[in-house]
Amino acid sequence: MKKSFLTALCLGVFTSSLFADYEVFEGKSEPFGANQIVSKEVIFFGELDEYSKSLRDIQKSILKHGAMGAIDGLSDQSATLAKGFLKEGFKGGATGLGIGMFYGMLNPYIMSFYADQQYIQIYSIKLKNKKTVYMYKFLVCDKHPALNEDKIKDILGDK
Amino acid sequence: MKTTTKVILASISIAILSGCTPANFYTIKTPQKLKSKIKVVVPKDKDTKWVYIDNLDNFIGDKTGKEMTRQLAETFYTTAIYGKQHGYKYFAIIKEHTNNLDGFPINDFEQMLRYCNLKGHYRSRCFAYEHKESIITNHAVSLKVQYFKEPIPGIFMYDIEQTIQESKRYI
Repeated sequence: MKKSFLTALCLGVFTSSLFADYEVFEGKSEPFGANQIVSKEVIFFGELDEYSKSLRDIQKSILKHGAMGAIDGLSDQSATLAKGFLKEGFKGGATGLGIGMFYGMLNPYIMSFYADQQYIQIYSIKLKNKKTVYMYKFLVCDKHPALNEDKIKDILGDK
Repeated sequence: MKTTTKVILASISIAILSGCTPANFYTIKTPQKLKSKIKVVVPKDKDTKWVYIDNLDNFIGDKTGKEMTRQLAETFYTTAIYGKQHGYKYFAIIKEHTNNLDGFPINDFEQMLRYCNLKGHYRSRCFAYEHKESIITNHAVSLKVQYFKEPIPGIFMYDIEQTIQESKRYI
């Protein structure tokens, strides 16, 4: 009896460590119907912290070089993102943001040990009316165990 | 008398030295009647762009999460109504772990509710005792937002009309 209880307990612990607990959130920058989509392209995939850093780098670059030279000196990931946003005039928006954009940058180091795994995928979507809109898929996962990037891509990918 | 004057002067000095921003406090009339007492805090300084929407109630002892849901809904509802009354179409949350301007993507009330209530308990980043900048601190809801008239590419913001429709279902 005792032995079977212990076996069941060990199996329970083992299997729970195999299956990560996660949730996926989805949203749009503004409403549109699926039948309005002409093309769809991924302009960012990575951790939420990387995305925040890229946004800050783009804003700094715009302030330093102006919108035309905004891509100068950016990492590949930030440059792809900047190209995706600059099409729709991120320039005006970024200057309008002012101090607000820098509010969240001081994430206490200690929290990173307890924080969930947070991955984001951003799509730039061209509509029939020639407007460009954006969509996100956001995965939040308990770090015990964490998911690897291939698995996250599978989960967030379009099927 | 002398002591009273000293106490008053000391209080004023503390307020000045602590960087306390002069602000206007409002309670607003909403189309739908709310149970919570909600205060809107608007800095007098015109260059400051944020507004606080503070729910003065708390949900201590709320075991089912119903009270938290209602207070979140009423706070988001008031935030959206205040923005609408001032001619805005969008708002962004600018609190630390859920800062839309810093890339946090969730921009609709129902998804935010799910995020705040992950796994049925408050283990998410909406709720952190040690962070005054989280949406929920010490079992009370407080939003810090910035309003916009136009969407900004790359920033996911709450649509005011959609937020009104979604949040009022939970009030």
